[in-house]
Amino acid sequence: MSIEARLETALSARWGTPVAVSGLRRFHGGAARETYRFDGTAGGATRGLVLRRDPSSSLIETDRRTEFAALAAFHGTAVPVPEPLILDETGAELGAPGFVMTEIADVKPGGVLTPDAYAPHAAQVGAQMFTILGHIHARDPAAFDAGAPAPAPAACWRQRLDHWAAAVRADAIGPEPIFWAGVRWLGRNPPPPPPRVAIVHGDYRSGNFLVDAAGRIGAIVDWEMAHLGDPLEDLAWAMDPLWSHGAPGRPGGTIDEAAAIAHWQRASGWPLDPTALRWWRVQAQVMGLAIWISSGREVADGRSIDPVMIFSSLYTYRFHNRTLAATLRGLAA
Amino acid sequence: MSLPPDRLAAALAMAQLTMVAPALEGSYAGGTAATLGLTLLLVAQDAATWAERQARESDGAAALLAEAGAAVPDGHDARLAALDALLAATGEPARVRRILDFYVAISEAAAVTPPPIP
Repeated sequence: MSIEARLETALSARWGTPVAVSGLRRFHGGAARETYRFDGTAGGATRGLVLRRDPSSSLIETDRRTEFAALAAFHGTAVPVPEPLILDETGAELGAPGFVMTEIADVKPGGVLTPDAYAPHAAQVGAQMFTILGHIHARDPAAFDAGAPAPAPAACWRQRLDHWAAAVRADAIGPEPIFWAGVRWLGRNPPPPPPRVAIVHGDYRSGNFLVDAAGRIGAIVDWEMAHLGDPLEDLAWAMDPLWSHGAPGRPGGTIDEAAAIAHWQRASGWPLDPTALRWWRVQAQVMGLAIWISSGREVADGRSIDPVMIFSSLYTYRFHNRTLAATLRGLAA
Repeated sequence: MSLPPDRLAAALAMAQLTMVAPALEGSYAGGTAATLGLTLLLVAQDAATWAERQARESDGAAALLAEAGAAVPDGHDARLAALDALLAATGEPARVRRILDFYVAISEAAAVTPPPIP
């Protein structure tokens, strides 16, 4: 059965009226999901919609239920997200496990290799980026059905570190000495715990929000790694130099880090412990390496020929190997 | 004589970026072709120095292992794994710094740089 026919059947059942699907078109990018936009017409009214479903291989091993639940937790709040409509965990309806959500029209992501991707609205975009991140962390964690018990605040760091170490233990095709040196430093220097746990986006950075022509952020996307944990995980990942568009110290190539943190604190009400943030910034590089190492394994084993996975296993892997080595050397000085 | 791998990859990259990607612009296939072309450019950069870097990494790891009195295994990956074990075990700050200096050097030499995308 075609994807269009599957969507028509699923949407007709959901809306209780016949739905016609047209204009199905796949987006490029985002190797964690196959993403398509299409129009759904019912009773003379047409809505732009988006299908996200699992590819045969993925950059990130995730549960589509997690992403759907995260959208549900924030739809209708100060955090702009599409409305989640249909979740299919088994693939029986959509042909592969995935979900359907509303389209946010007239917005696009900034290209992560594009210098000044948000010009001439960079300052405005940076302020929104970190204010919205603050709103995410201010949300009651009970609003998000994470599918797993919340970790104790003191256990957040160890849970993430063990997660990435296990991924690399399973997927590495070489010795990865810089990654393991990073893991050991993190294990020997645990951060102070957060006062409580928060909803963590898990991949909050330039490229995962959509901006309109006037510089307004219209949607935060790619919630597949959302979980409950320490909000500094998101702050550190958002400020990682990989996402700075060639302007280190300016997340997303937008505003400087001090301004970014000020916007985040104002919106979230969270305290900022510099020792904890330092730990999470090292963790961000270890996390990045783990993701890129796993993507390389998918390619090496022939499970993926997605060029985004191939690119990640080369450029971004080398980037984080280099920054993590330099960071660890600085910490040992 | 055939072209070396770095020159072949660079030529394939230019074909992807100037012939295939523009012809498919705006589509999923066009984005895929552009990413392939960009990745081939990086492969060309990498291939130009790969053999030399592998030898330098292997020799550098061997020197650090020998300096510490550790066994020096054969093979690039085995030597880097042994160096990782040495770093995990050593409590000497000066040795830690020397090994990390080596990691900085090899990771900087291995970095690849994509062109800015307008």
